[in-house]
Amino acid sequence: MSEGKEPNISEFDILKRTFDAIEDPIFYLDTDGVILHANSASGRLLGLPPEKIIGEQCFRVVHHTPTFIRGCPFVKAKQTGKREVYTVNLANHWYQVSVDPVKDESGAVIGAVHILTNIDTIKKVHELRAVLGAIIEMTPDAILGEKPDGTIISWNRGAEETFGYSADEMIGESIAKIIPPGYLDDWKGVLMRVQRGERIEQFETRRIRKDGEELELSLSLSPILDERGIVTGIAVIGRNLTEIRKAERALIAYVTEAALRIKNPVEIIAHTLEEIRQLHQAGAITDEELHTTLLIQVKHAMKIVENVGDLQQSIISGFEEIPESYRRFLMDEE
Amino acid sequence: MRSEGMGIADTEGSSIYLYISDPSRMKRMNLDIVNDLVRKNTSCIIVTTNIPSSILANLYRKEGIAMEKIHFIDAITKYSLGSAPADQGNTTFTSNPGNLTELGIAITEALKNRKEADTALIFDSVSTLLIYLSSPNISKFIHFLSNKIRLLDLTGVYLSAEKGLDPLLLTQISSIVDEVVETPK
Repeated sequence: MSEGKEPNISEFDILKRTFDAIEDPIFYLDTDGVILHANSASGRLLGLPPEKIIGEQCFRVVHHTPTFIRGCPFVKAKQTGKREVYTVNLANHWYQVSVDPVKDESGAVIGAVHILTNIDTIKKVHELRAVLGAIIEMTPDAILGEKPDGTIISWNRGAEETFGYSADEMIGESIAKIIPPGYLDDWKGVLMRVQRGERIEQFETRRIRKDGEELELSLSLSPILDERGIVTGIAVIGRNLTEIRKAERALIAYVTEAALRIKNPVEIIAHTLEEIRQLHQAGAITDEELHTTLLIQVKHAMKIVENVGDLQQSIISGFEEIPESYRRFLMDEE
Repeated sequence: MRSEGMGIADTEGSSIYLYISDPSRMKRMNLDIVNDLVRKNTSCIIVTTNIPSSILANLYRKEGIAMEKIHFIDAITKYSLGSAPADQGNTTFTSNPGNLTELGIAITEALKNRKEADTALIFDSVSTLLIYLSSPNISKFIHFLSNKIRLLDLTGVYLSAEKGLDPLLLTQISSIVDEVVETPK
């Protein structure tokens, strides 16, 4: 403010206007809870003009109770002489209330300033975080948080079940602890890409469980960015594919085996029979030779039936998921 | 891998081949290979696991193949009939195509008793043998036979139906033989 142009406003007025301009409700109470000062935001909170609030006891206008509520921080602050903080829901909004006792020269509490800060956003974030936290804990997928250098900062229950290590055992450790030596270079390459801000979807690799078993996993890695866009961490979701991949390989083996044990031999039999038929028709082989060849093909066919039986047995013993009715059918049982 | 072209008998020294053919051309492939070899004065030991040696002998005669150059190891006739024909010369009968020990001994004996240095062993066929044996056992047996063929500086020919071998067995046999020949349909 330049000299000679000072407006005719007292310091009290300035403070009063500032007091009213603050968006957080502020009350000043005496030791009986009588509101001595209240700003405009307080009136808006309670739906009353400030002059109707002043002189009233706080619990009557705020909580609509005849006395202080149970656990009232103001009552506590009068006893402790220290700031007391609590959260309260008023008119469908969440507030953090901080109660600062005001003391006289002898140190006796003569009142308290109540400042109510709207924490709806924080509360929603906390609620959302709790929901997400519950989802993360409930999912069977391994979900972990890492620092950009691969140091583990969070490890969910799915990760515990997948890798066999508890969160206590892994938090603070490098993720390299569970990477097979042959996959460390791959991991370093992926880490560099994520450190540059790249997101990596469903990258298939291997990791080692605590008991030494090697797992096949699909990993998705996302950089965690701060408000400036700097990578401050890495979120990793891992799905254990070991059983699926085992089943796929078994299926390929069975299909290949079935082709070898059934289709191709039957094709050989069919062509041999056709050739022999033509040779016999042309008089190139005798009835006895025809008979011998037919017997050979019958033997082949019987052996193929035996092979198919063996294949069925190995399928049945390899897959517990086969329904009982199909199991009986495959085992030729009634 | 190449398609059929240059004859087997044109090569010098020990050579081992895998011939792959459509199942409908297996018999023709056998006749062509044996004919080619015998015409170039190579004796043949034919191991058969599908067509009886008596029928093969008839077919060879019709092709004009000199039968004194042929010795059969028949792994299927005795198995199917229960006994071996008494009047068939130049043939060793084994009791079961799945009995590799017996088959191995018969082949070893036939190779030992060969009258001519220039001899070829023709195995007809690996794919039929798969009806009786697992791929790993066949792979080991092919290894055994191939070592024997190379030691004696002979020619070896394995016949197989197209798609009659699983990819792993095909890779294993391909790594043992000198050449894989796919015959055109």
